[in-house]
Amino acid sequence: MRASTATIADRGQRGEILADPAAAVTALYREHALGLTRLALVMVRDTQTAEDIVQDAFCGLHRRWGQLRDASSALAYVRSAVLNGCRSEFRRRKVSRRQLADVPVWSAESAAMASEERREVLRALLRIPARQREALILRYYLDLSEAETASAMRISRGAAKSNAARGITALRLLLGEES
Amino acid sequence: MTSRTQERLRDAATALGSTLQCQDIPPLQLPDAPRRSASAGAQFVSARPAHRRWLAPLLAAAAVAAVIGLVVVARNLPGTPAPRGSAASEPPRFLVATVDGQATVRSGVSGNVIAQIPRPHGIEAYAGVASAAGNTTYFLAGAIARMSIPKIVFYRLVLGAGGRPGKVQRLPGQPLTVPGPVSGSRSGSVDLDFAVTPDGRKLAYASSRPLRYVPGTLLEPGTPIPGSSDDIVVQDVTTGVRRTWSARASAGAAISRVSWELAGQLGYAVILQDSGVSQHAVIHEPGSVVGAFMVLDTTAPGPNLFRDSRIVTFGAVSPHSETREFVVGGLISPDGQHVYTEIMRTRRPVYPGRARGTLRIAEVSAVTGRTIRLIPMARPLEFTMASIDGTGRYLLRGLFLAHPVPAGDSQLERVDLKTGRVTRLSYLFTRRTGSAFEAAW
Repeated sequence: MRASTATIADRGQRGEILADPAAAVTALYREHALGLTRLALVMVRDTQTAEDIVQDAFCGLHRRWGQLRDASSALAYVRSAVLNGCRSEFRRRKVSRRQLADVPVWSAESAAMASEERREVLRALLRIPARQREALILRYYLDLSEAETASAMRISRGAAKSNAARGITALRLLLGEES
Repeated sequence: MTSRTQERLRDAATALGSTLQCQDIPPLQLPDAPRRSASAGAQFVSARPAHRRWLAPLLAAAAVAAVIGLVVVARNLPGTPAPRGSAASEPPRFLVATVDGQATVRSGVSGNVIAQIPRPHGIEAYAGVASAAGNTTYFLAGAIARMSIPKIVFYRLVLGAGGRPGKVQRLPGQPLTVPGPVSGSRSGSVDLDFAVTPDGRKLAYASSRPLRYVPGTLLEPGTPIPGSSDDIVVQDVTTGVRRTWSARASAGAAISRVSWELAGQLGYAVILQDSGVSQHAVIHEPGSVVGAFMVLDTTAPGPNLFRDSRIVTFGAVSPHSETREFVVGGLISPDGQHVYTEIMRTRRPVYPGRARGTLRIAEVSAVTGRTIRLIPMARPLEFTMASIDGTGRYLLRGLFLAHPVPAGDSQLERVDLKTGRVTRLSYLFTRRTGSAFEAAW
C-alpha cells in the first residue's frame, strides 16, 4: 500500500490548488485519509483515536500550509504528524497508567481479526520499542522505502534501516520463529 | 527476501487496517470552516482565496472597529431600545444556571456572575431552569421544603436592564410530585430537566411514575425507579393544565433533554430497555437497548408517547450487535430544522450506563434524520448540552473537567454552531457528588 502524492503535486504545479489551502488540504484528505487512519489504527488500536489523530494532523497541515516548500511535501508532513499523534497517544496512555495490553484491538472488528495468529503478531508488535514498531509498520505495512520511512520518522536513513532490522528481529524472537 | 515474520506482520496489520473502509472515515473538519452539507462530503461550499492574505487582518480589524463604533453610537442614541441578547451574530447576553440548589444570572459572553436569584419563601432549592426566546424570560423549578417526596413548583423570571433579575412569579398549577431527590435539597441531588416553548406559553418535562408499593419488599410507596422517566408532561403556563404522554409499552425508559421548537414540536432523547426499532417504530425486543432522539407532536391526541412521536435518529444495541455509536442526548433547534445529538462512541459494543466512550455532537436533519456534520472538538470530552439560544446559533454546554462524573469541576462553554468555535466561559464550579446542574439562555 504505497501512498502517492502525484495528484496533489501535479495539480499544485499547475497552480490550481495551492492558492486555496482549505481546498488543497481537503483534497489531500480525500485521497489519503483512509490510508492514514488505517496507519494510525494499526499504531494505536482504536478507531476513534485514530480518526482524531488524522483529523488533528490535517488541521495542523492546514495551519501550516503556507510554510510548505511545495505541495508534494504535504503528504510527508501529514504522515509525520500522524506518527507524532500516535506517540502522543501512547504517552497519554502511559500517563494515565493504562496498560497497552488493555487497549482493545479487536472488538467490532473481531471477524476480520479472528485469527489467533494475527492477534499474536499484533500483541507482539506492542511489546517492541516504539521506534522499531513505527519502522516496521511503515516499511512492511505501508511499503514505504527506507528514505520515505526515514522522512516520516524524521530520522536518518541509516537509523530507519537499523530500527526496522532490530524490530523484525525482536518480533521474530517474540513470535518464536526461526531466523 | 521476505521473511515469514514480515509476511505475518503485513497480514496482521492489513487485516486490522482493512476493518476501516471509506465510509467509516468522517469528513474533514477544518477549524472555522464554513458550514457544509453532507452531500458535499469533504468539499467546502466556499473557501477564502489565498492571495492578498495580508489584507485579511487589516480588513478584520477595520470591520471590528466599525462594528464597535456603530454599536457605541447606536447605544447612545436617545430612545434606542435595549439591545436584544440574541442578535444574529452575537452570543446571548445572559444565561441562568442552577447548581446545588442555587440560581444565578450570568453574562452569556463571559460567564461572570451578574446576580444571585433569591429563593421564594418555602423553596428549599432551585432544581432546574429553562428559557423562552429573547434571552430575558426564564422559568425556574423550585423544590418545596418539608416534603419527604419533593414537590416542584414553577416560577417565571424576567430579567431587567443589565440582567438584573425581577421578582420570581409562581405559575399556576398544582405542585408536581417528583419521585426522586432534588438537587441542593437536604434529601438528595437529582434535578428537573424541563423546557419552555420559545413563546413562553408551555413548558414540558420528563417525569417518572412512583413505583407501585409491593407489601413485603424494601421499597416504600413513591420510590422512584432508578434511571426511569417514562412520561412527558406538557403544562400550560397560563392555566397550569397538564397533559401526559406515557411510554407505557417500555420496560424502562429514561427520557432526558426535552427541547421545544417554534411550531410546538417537542424533541427529547430517550434510552429504552428491552426495545428495538423496526420500520421507524419502537418495538419490544428483550435484551436490546435503544438510544434515540425523538420528536413528539404535542398537538396529537396522546397519551401514547411513541405513537405520537417520530424517531429522528437512533442507535440500537442488542446482545449480538456490535454497535459502537449511541445517542445519549440531544436538542432540537428553535426552527425545528436540525437536531444536535450527543453521540457516544465507544471502543467496544456496550450498553449505555456502563459505557465509557467519546462524546461528539452531530448536526442531524430533523426531517430526514441524516447526519449533516460533526461539530469539531479538540479533545474527547465529557459534556452535556444545556440550551440552544433563540437564534439557533449558540449552544450552551456544561463541560466536565474532572472525574468521576458527575462529581468534580465543571465549566460552561459556548459553541457557535455555525462556525464550530468553542469559547469557555469563566464560570467554573464544583458540584457536589451526584449533583447535577442546569443552565439556559
